[in-house]
Amino acid sequence: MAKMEEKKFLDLYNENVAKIYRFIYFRVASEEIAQDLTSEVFLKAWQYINKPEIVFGLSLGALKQDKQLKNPRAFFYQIARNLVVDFYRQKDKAPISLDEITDKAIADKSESLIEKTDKSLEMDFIKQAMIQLSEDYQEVIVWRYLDELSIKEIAVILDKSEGAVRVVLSRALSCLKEVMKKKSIS
Amino acid sequence: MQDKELIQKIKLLKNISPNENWVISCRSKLAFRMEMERKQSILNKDLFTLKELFSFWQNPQSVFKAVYSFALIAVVVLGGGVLTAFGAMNSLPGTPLYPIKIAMEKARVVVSFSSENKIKLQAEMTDRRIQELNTVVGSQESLEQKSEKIGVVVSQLQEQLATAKNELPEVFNVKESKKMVDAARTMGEKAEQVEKTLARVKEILPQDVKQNMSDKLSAVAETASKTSTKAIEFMANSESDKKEVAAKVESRIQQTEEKIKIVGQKIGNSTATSTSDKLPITAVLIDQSEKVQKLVDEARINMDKNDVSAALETLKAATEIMNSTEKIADNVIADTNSKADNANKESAGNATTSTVQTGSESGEK
Repeated sequence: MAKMEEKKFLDLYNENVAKIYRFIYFRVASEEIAQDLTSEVFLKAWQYINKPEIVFGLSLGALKQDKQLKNPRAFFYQIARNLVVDFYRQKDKAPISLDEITDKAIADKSESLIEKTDKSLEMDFIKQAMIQLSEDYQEVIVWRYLDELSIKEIAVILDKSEGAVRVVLSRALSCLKEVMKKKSIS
Repeated sequence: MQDKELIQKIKLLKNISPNENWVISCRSKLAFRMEMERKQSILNKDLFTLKELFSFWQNPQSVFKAVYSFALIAVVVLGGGVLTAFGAMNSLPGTPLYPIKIAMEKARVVVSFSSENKIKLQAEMTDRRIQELNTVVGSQESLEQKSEKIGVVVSQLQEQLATAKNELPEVFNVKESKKMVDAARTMGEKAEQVEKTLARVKEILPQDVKQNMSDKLSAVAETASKTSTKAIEFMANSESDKKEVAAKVESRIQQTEEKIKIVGQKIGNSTATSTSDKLPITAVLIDQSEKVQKLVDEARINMDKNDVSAALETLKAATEIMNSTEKIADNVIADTNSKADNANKESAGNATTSTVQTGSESGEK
């Protein structure tokens, strides 16, 4: 029985590790820190599933009620969010914006140099626009379009209604469009 | 700018991904931690074991105490993960570390980003399963243990071959690298090796075990054959050496012909031993094997015309018909054998009864 649970959890790790890593990486802009925090996310999640009482300092909000963990992905994101907040609180640092993310993370080895440069320029443009958005807007855009979370899943993580999430997402996109328009004019 | 266009641009940021080696090592650490926690909880239940483990505390020599503690911590904390990983990589089915080995292998595939890497890894894994199968078959274990372990390996093989087959692209894309063709070639060769190994396993296994596992073994052999054919198809559509592809198709034609002979023998055996009610079935089987032979001849003609894809399509049809023919022949033989066994048992029972009766009658006299 315990082995089955372990196997299921490791399958969840396989499915989510890249997404959680990317989510954290956008916030901390360091490969090493993102790796450390990502492994901590899964360790804490496992501890919570196994022995919820020993996971101190985790404010899991609405998820805490859901002992069956019907939405593990949302659960991982919630832990990741808390860990990033804790990280900056402990280090007494200001959150790092997307601006500080280096291009070394772009790891598509199959492309030619020209394709890479084009993609890199385009990425840089979108990245520059994204950094001008508020954290809330950045977060919903990353979840919806990079991690492909459903509106329902985002609503669970943010502890908001689906309608509220749709509104935030729509505003975030409009804001991003506006920023990009201004940037391209300037 | 349209929303759709904007979303496409946002999606470019998806290229940010973690290092593959880190993902594997992190997973291994997580698995190791889970295992240790599980073992710890078992250990906690057994106070006696715990006392034994820490009995050195009762020893008055503090130097010994320190050395022992250090050694214990070093072994558990530092060596544990490496030992587990090493032990798992060399484990065989039936051992506690085997599921970890399989999980680690699957994790490697999951975190590989390119199709060619995924196929290469599947080929490596298939090779390991073949070795495991050979080790299990050659071991001195009981038949029951052997068949259980063969079942585990064969199930893994089935899953891996099916995944590899799905991973092979349907259509060759010019952008696809030479590496992809190499990966497809290796996978195809491994799938062929699986077919040969399974045929050998079938020969070695005793009749009753073989009969129990027959469906499973046939299913894997079928998947292996399909994977191998798909790999050749992919190579034929790519810019691979035409001679190499032709040689591979020829080899498959020969294999199919050999299989026709084996199935023919089976049909012959079933005709010799079966009762009159089975004769219509054997007639159908003979008809089907003749159809297979015609299709194989057609495949040869297609190859003479340099039409590789038509040859492969014809071979696929031939293999499908042959597999179903073999299954029916196997069922006829199994049915005839079980009827013969029952008849033997009955006659043996009658003989015993008559002996007992004769004995009691002579006693009465």
